Amino acid sequence: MLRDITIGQYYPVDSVIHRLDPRTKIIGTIVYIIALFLVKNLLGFGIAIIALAALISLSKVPFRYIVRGLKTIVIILLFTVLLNMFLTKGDPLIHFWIFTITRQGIYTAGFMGLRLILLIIGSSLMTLTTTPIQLTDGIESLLRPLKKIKVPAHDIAMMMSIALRFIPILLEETDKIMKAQMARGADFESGNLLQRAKSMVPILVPLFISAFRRADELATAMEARCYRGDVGRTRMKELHYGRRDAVAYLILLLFVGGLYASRYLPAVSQLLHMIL
Amino acid sequence: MSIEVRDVSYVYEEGSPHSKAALDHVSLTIEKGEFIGIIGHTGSGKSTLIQHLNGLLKPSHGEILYDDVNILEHKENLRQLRQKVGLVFQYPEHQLFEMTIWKDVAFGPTNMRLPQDEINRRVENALSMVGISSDFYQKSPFELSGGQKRRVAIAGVLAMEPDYLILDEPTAGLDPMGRDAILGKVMELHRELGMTVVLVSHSMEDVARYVNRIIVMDEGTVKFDGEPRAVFSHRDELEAMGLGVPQVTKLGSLLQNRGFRMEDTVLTVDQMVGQIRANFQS
Repeated sequence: MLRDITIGQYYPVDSVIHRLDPRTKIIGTIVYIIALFLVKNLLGFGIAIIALAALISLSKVPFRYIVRGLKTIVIILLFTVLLNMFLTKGDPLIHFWIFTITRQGIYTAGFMGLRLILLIIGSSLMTLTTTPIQLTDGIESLLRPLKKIKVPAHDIAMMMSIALRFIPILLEETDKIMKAQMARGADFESGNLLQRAKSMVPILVPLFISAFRRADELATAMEARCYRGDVGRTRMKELHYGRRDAVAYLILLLFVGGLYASRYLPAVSQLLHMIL
Repeated sequence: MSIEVRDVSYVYEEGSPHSKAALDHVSLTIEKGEFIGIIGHTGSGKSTLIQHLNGLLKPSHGEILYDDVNILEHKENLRQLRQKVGLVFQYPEHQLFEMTIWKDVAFGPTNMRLPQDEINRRVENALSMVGISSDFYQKSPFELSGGQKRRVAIAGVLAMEPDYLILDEPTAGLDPMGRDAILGKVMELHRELGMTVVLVSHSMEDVARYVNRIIVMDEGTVKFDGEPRAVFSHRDELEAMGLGVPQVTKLGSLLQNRGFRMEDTVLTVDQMVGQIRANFQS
């Protein structure tokens, strides 16, 4: 169960996408997510799906591995789709008891579900192809202009990289503690909601104690190595944009342009609607 | 009465880029009443192996038989199995969570849904076995020293009164006194209550002193399985694995090369003293 969480995990292969500058990938992901919410018709979604599929095949990360990350959001996904389906007003298609399903409802629900799936896949593709260190370096570099208005860019980036680093450690720790308590006859799977919540206590107490202990040890270790925040701090690997990043930005621009154009091509999308 | 591991393989994170074979066709039988030491260095698969013995991990291939019954055949029996095969993890003190020592040790028996007076008896019994006096019962486990915490955590498993006791590196991070105290207690449990004990360790000295059978693991396979003397006679192979033999055993074989007469592979300092004395007397 815990192994299904792929968000924040890095998939170690060598590909064009892996070698892109992290800033390119972060900006690309943000633009992609915004674009997803501006898309209103099937043609636009078609472009978004094809673009993502091309990126996935370039990244050499197995599709199966990316999809595993979706398992964790199945409930949110279902909830969103059902709410949209039943609560959107419009031309009724099916009516039973107090529920009405409208044509508009089905469209909104479908689009919303598709949007969420693409959003999760798109952002997990970024984390799967970027090491946590690169990611935080990228974020720090992108936030740097905000330093002028007293945004602690370095501290935010450091906190993020520590948090990311601790995810696998804490998962492993949880696994170990769960097993130790199961060896003492603990049962996490049966009983009602209250009993199950109670059965978490033997996991949570040791987990918190160990998290605090680790945080304390890490702080000491950082101080022992003279960490003083970003003042006067240099880095071993400076970020440099390359030619491949220029190409990536160009493609991103084309993608946004294509989506924008798709909104003004109602004829094509109407045709698609008719076929479907 | 036995636990049989039959041709078991285990792969971590099967189907992902991090997948790693931890056990590779392992077969062995643990008979009731034995005192077994499992040795191997980090990553040799020893911790993975013992987690199979009480059903915490399910083999990717092969099966585990408890008294000739496959432990995964009836899922509802797993809880019973975990009571019969007590597993003490590495750094067991990290699992303590209750407000008082007494309550923490009672966690296992309570999960077994025993009557209250039986729980009381078992908790008191387990705590006295590990040498924690009744003055401590109502104290918080977090007030104790490292060695004491570990003994309380071991009592938490003993309170389930298992037939088999498996300890994963019970002496890691303890000073020599704490180490001897814990191993001494384990030896007592074996000798006086006839408990079957499996001791996982990478310390040859600890293992040689107490156990009557050694299983050597390397890269997920069983390399040697037999009496300590027989296993330690493979000094060169063990050293190639980065394990070596107890220092006193090594001294014995070095002396033998220099012309001393050693009757057998030496395992403890006492035996060594006897052998050297015999050499000078003759």
